[in-house]
Amino acid sequence: MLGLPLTPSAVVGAERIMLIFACAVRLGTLVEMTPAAIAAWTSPSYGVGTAVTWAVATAMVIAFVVLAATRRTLPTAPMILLDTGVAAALLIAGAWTVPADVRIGSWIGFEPGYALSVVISAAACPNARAWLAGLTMVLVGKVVYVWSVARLSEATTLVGDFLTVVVMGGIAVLMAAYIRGLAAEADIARELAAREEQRRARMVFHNGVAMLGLLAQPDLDPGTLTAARTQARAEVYRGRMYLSGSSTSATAGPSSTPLTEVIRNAAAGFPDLAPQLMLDLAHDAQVPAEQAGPLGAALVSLLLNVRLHAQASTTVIHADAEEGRWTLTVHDDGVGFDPSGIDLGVGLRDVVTGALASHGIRTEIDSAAGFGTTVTLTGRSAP
Amino acid sequence: MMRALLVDDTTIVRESLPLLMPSIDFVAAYSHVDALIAEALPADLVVLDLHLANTTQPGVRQGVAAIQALVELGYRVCAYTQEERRFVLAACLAAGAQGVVSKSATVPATTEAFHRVAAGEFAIPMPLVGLVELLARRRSVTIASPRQLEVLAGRARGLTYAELSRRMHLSEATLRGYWADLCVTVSTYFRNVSPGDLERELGVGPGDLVSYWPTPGGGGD
Repeated sequence: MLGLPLTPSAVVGAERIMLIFACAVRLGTLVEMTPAAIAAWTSPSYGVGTAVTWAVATAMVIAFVVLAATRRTLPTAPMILLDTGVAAALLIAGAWTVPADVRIGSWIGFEPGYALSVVISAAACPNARAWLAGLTMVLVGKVVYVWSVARLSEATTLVGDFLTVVVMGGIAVLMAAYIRGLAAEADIARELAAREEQRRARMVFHNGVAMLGLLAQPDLDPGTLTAARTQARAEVYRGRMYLSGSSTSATAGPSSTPLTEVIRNAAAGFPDLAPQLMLDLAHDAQVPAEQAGPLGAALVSLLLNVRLHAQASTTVIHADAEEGRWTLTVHDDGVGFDPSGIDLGVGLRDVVTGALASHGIRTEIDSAAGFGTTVTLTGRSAP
Repeated sequence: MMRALLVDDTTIVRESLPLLMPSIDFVAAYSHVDALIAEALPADLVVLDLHLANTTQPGVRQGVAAIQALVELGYRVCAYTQEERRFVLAACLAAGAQGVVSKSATVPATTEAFHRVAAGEFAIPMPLVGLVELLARRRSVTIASPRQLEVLAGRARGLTYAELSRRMHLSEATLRGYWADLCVTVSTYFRNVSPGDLERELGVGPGDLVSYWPTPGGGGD
């Protein structure tokens, strides 16, 4: 789990559904055990033993359902061992309490059916070892239960009966594991989606917030103020597009954009920095249209960093293109920083490195205190 | 102290530059080149504005013609200009100027550039560095040394000598040496290239550079 606060998780929901299914199986079995109760009540030949075993089984079903309703969590390993252990004990007791003629194929001899429901409901427990131990106890109990009445002519019936427990229980375990895994994947997907939405929001609003910070400065010179206002209008547009649920990236128009155009548009908002554009080596380079928006936003973010933090006297944007790849560097001769010594801010981390990486553009940051900063972006040219 | 002569038609520049750059001894300041030539005072450097003609002194020598005239007299010339067109800046180097400094540069940067040119180094402005990189990529300018190419690539990306030194593990003095050698190569290229060849390299129209380019014995504008 990645740790974001979310609505109730799919895993919890899946566990509740498995719990309800287990309770339904146990209560359904209780209904099917009714002939045993009637026989114990009406026919003295079945004796007290049938009544007692029925009462114990009924008490276990009720206890299981009550615990499930109050705890609302899956049964634990000790609970499963106790439950299956009682079922196995009832099977062994059945060898004496259930008459031989109704021991197989009758709900008066309810113990095998009850044991099957216990094995199936135990599948909800995530502890596979506990389930296997319980299954083994039940199978041993079944051997004792049928031992005195087993005949060779009924071998197929008996084998089928044993296999039913193993196969049905196994299917229940596999289904429970599948549902649990599916729910865990759904939770991870939901968290990733939430993180992606947070990242998108950070990308959309980071530059805008930086512009707000700039506009809030009381001693802004007129040139910077004019540039900031122009840029602020573009950021307002991006923010509105995001809030209205529209895409902020290009979806129509030409399939590629000149790299130099992306650079010139981004640099146009920073007349106060007067970045020197060295674009000769990339005058023919084209970037795929879907990269133009993120690349432009990344450049704006980089130049905002220079404006706000670098204290630079010179900023140079250089572009080169050769053999189907382009390289763009943004360099300032400002104060620099130690990239390994600080956490990158939203701008460098999300708007530049993260967003560009998702479009196949690599970012390298080279800086040292007192030595300025160079950010190098590398991508594949559009054909 | 370095001795300089200043030629600029703007009075405020002639009077303020000596005040702003106390490390330079501006021996004399003139509004046009012919006045300087008439006195022909000795100096380590001539700081020359490219555009000198105005209503009070129409028809005076300016641009590459002024540079050529000064270079022929043995002066070391640094153009100090608002001009940004790269082929005009290249024409200055072709005419023999040892440096071109933008009037938009800061006072410390300008002062340092004047000192370096006076000491025999070249001062090539960033727009021209980009042009040189392009010419080197097209192999129009032959730069034999890989180290020189590295220095050129770094300078074109705005790296200072200190940053280049950190990256290339070479001393700043060594790097400046590479750059000086490269500047000689570039200067020689501009002096020898024909305007037509450069027009093709720059992708400008035929004849666009001719009126700006120096001609043997003085010319251009």
